[in-house]
Amino acid sequence: MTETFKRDPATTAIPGTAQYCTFLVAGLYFGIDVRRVQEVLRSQDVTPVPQAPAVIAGLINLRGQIVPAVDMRRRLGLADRPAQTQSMNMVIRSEEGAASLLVDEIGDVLDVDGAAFEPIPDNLAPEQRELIRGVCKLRDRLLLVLDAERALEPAGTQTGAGIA
Amino acid sequence: MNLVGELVLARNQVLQFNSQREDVALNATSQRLNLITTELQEGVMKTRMQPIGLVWNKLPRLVRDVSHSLGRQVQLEMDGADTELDKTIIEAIKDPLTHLVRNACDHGIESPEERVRQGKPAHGTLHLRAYHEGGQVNIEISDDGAGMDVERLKQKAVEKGLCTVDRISRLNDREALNLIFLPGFSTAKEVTNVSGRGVGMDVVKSNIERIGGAVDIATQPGEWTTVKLKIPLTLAIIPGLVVASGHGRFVIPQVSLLELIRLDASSTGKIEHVHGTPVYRRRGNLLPIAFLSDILGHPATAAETVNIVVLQAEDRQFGLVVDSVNDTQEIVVKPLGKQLKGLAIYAGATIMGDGRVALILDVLGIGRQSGVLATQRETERVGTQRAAQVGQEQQRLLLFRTGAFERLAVPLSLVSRLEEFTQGAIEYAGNHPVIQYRGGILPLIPLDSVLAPGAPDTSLTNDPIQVVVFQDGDRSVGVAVDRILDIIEDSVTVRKQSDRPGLLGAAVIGKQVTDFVDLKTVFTAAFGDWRQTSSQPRRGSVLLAEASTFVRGLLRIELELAGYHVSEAADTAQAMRAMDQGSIDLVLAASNLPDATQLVEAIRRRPGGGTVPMVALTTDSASTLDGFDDCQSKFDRTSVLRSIERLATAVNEPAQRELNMEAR
Repeated sequence: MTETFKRDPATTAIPGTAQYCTFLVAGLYFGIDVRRVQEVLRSQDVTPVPQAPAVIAGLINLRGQIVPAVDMRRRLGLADRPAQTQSMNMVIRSEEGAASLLVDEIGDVLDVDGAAFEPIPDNLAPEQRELIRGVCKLRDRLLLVLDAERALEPAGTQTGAGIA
Repeated sequence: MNLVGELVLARNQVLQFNSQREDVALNATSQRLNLITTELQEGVMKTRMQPIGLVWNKLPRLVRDVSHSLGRQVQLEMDGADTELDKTIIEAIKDPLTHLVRNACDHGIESPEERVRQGKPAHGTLHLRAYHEGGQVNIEISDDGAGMDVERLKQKAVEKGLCTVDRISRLNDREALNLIFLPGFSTAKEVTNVSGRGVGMDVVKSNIERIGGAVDIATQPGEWTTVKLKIPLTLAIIPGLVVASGHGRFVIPQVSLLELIRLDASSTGKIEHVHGTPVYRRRGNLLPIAFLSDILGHPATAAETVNIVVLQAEDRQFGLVVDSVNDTQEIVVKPLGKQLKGLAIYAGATIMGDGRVALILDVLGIGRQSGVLATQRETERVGTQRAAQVGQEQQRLLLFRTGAFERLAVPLSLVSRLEEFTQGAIEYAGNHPVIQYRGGILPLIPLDSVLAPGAPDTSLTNDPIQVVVFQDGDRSVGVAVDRILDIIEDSVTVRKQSDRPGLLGAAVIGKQVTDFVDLKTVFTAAFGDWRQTSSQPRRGSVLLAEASTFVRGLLRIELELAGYHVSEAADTAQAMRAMDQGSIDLVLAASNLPDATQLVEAIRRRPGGGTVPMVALTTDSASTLDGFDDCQSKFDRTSVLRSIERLATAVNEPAQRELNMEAR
């Protein structure tokens, strides 16, 4: 908690071996660099912000700190979460303070070898392409590595260009 | 501080939890927790308070350096250095304060020679004073220097293209002083390394406003200048009003709040719509209304009662309709993340007692978003269109429709009230429709019958009847129209003058051609020659020399309503004839008459004409003032009237003028 976030080269290039905190969004298996993750919380009270971009689900109270919550389903251009199901909060550190990603389910923390990485398939939807830094072949499934900074930016301001 | 915030929050949650169950032991414990937390919070807040002297300590050195390099002699006096402010605020006011002190040394206090010449002591005095007042800290920076010359400020603002001539001429002294807060404004004759680079007061103002403070200036040319900063005690906690709209709670900062209005089935007032624009009549004035539900984009809830929160943004007011008004609370302001920075309608967020987040509304942003405040600021508007704007004026107009006339306008300043009457309310007196209105009899004039005599009259058959009430002294007339369209603020550009009785001319307003109603005709229809019977005291005769029929018409109404007898003249020859025919107490002459100077000379040459006050009506400042007693913008009717009043009373004193008045 005391460690402050620094954008080191290892997070921008695909590293040798890294730990990823994984989560599920509409059946897609995502990973995020574990050093970016501040904490994981159960469903929180979200105060909606009228007139805000749709990807912003609202604001949550994180022990007195007000943190925006980004709905990852909307951010990825996927269908909304079915009613009655509760989202999980993955609070990540960014240059602008903490932010929460609303995801469906939280998975394990995985050690991933850099050699298992592949470029993003070309036929991925553009909303998803721009947020994904690479695809990692695990033994039984594929792990999509999320670009956390981009996920927090409003949709449409960045394109997926620059990712090999 | 953050830890204490979290503790307070945890305490709030425990209290809430406690209130749901009846456990004596828990109750006692939570009460204790409550007390301790509150004390701790106060204690921590207190440790954050620092005396303002911490910033002031650096000022003697600064003043000495600056005055030395400028060759001034400045004595610094400080009062109230132990006044305490929150640490963050102390930081925030450091730069503005330094700037103001530099300014005072450079612009304010004159050189020793100059001071001695004016009979002041050679050394100037700069006085800093800080004191608590009503939950705020006031900081005053006063110098006994040259003061500020309002006229010079105005002139500078025009030169730099920061403000239009028209607008300048309508500013009062206080407003004109605020010109120095415009970006790019500097009155220093020469740029020094201390100040005068045109970056400064606007930054001071925005810095102070960012921390919720205000800047005020007072000056006496040649004597003193005082800048007063009003600073909140602490940034962290502000009082706010909690309102609800839809399912959400929102907080409105108390500083913007003027009053609360609650309308239910039994109250007389209601929100009315003028061409879709909601307004509320608040003590006789129309207050534009915005709906919070519209702004936030959720469906409006139908309710018996309407809650209007009257807010002040900049210098304008508007009403905001909310679902319910809860209570006032001290709230802790927290910023919104960058994802939400683009939303002008929020100023931040806060955490309520139940641990949930509530958004703080930005009153200015709300006003702009809903259109009740113009989105453009004066400074943005001027400059690009400066030339095009000469001769135009932003003016509030009431638009309505009647019979064959699709779009008619009168200046809103002439309208007393808008009323709706049912058919049954019409009675007839001497075969004229009248209505009992506020204990009197209000004659009703169907506007149709004035504009197009003989045409079938529709406005009186409507139910309810839309009536625009005009007032002249203690007498009113109701003008029945088919429909009130809108209230619009626009510049009036005359395109065409009208020869139809009852119309002054046509202008493009809100991108549509609109006819201006000649109220004189309307009043004549109501009262016969209403001027003669007007109950207002006669105040003298004014000759109005102006080439444009339209402008003459507009001014004539204003002058006659103010009780003057008006003679019109379109050129010098007509003006001289009018001067020959009757005694004229005052001449208003447009400076753009082709031979305005000859007119002045001709009048001045007449026997007794040397004393007739003459007011030039201008559209821009480039006009000459030779021979005139005063100069006013022809579109600023209030100032014209004021000027006339002043000159008329000044001149009426000599006996000769009195004789003239009696002879008439």
